[in-house]
Amino acid sequence: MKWMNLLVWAMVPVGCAPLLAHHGTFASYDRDKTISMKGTVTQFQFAYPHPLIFFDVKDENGNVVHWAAEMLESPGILKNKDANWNKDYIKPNDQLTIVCNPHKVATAKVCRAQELTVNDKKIY
Amino acid sequence: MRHLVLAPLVLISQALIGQTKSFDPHDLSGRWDRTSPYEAYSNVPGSGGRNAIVAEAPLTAAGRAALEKNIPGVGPRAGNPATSRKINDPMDTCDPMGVPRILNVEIIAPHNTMEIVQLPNRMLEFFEWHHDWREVWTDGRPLPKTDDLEPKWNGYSVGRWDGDTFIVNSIGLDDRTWLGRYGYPHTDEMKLEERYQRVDANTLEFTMILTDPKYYSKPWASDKKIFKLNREKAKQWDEQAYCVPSVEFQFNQLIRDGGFGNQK
Repeated sequence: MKWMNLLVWAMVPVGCAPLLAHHGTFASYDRDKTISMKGTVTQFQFAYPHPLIFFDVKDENGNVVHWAAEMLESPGILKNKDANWNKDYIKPNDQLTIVCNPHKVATAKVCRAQELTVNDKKIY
Repeated sequence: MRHLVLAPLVLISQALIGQTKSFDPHDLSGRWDRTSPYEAYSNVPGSGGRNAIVAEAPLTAAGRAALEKNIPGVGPRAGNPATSRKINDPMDTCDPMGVPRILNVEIIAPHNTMEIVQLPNRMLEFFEWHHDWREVWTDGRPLPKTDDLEPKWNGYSVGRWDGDTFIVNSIGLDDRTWLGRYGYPHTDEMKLEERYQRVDANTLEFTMILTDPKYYSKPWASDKKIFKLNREKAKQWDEQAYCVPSVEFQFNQLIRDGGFGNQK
């Protein structure tokens, strides 16, 4: 698959999503679709209820678009799965490739992370 | 591959050790992890995943009307931030979850822990998620009359032993709370009974039965909640998973409701 800076709205069925969300954000995303993007991390909040990744991507015109991605699990659950998770696991200027569910509010630049690759290493 | 073969044997042997280890059925103290499949008061629609056996609550017409006003973030009645049907789960504003929601709110480690401390006159329950706690009086005092009480988030609770079953009766429960994350309501006249049994050294089971005639046509029992003793967690720092309003409000605005990218 050829990656672009701001990528493809792919109609990919997600199937049986794990029942993990604590908060109402399950209802916020279109879980039948995923989008894929490449960007540069600007901030990582390893916080409750769910960690957030803020990142910049360039659209097809070269304009920077600010995005936010929510992690499905809380910090405690992520650490249970992989002890490497902490507030510095993702850092500003890291190169991010993300596959995520788009928000139901079409204009929102928010998505829910399904897969994360940081600096060419898949971490989620 | 060898690990894959041995893993079930290890689990089975651990379970057998738990069943054969001596224990005092009247000792409920310890850190217990909720393992029940239903993250809800009971196995209501939406609560159990694919192919789960679920049952609708015995709602009265008034109960049904109250349920319709509660818009959860999960399940078949979930709200949608792209429409006018906005989520109004009190958990999302860091409101206290109250009893019985605090008893069924989390089934995922490490948030699913409840610690029980038994004192001579009280039993205390501490909850990891939202770092909350409640007290159950065991000194023989009767419950007050509902009319004499101001409702409280976790209500008023007394406990007693009936054989090897510890029975907790609660009243005075604030009606702003939901029974669980699917939005089932209750009035402040609800009476709740919890029945705890330590069935082996590692397992605590309990069920709840609520009586609330305005909203439920008959007493409504929960599914059986199953807790496993977590001996390792007793050696660890608390997770301190507080709900922080300043964080939560920003999260709701920017993330849950899709405000990020739409700021003016």
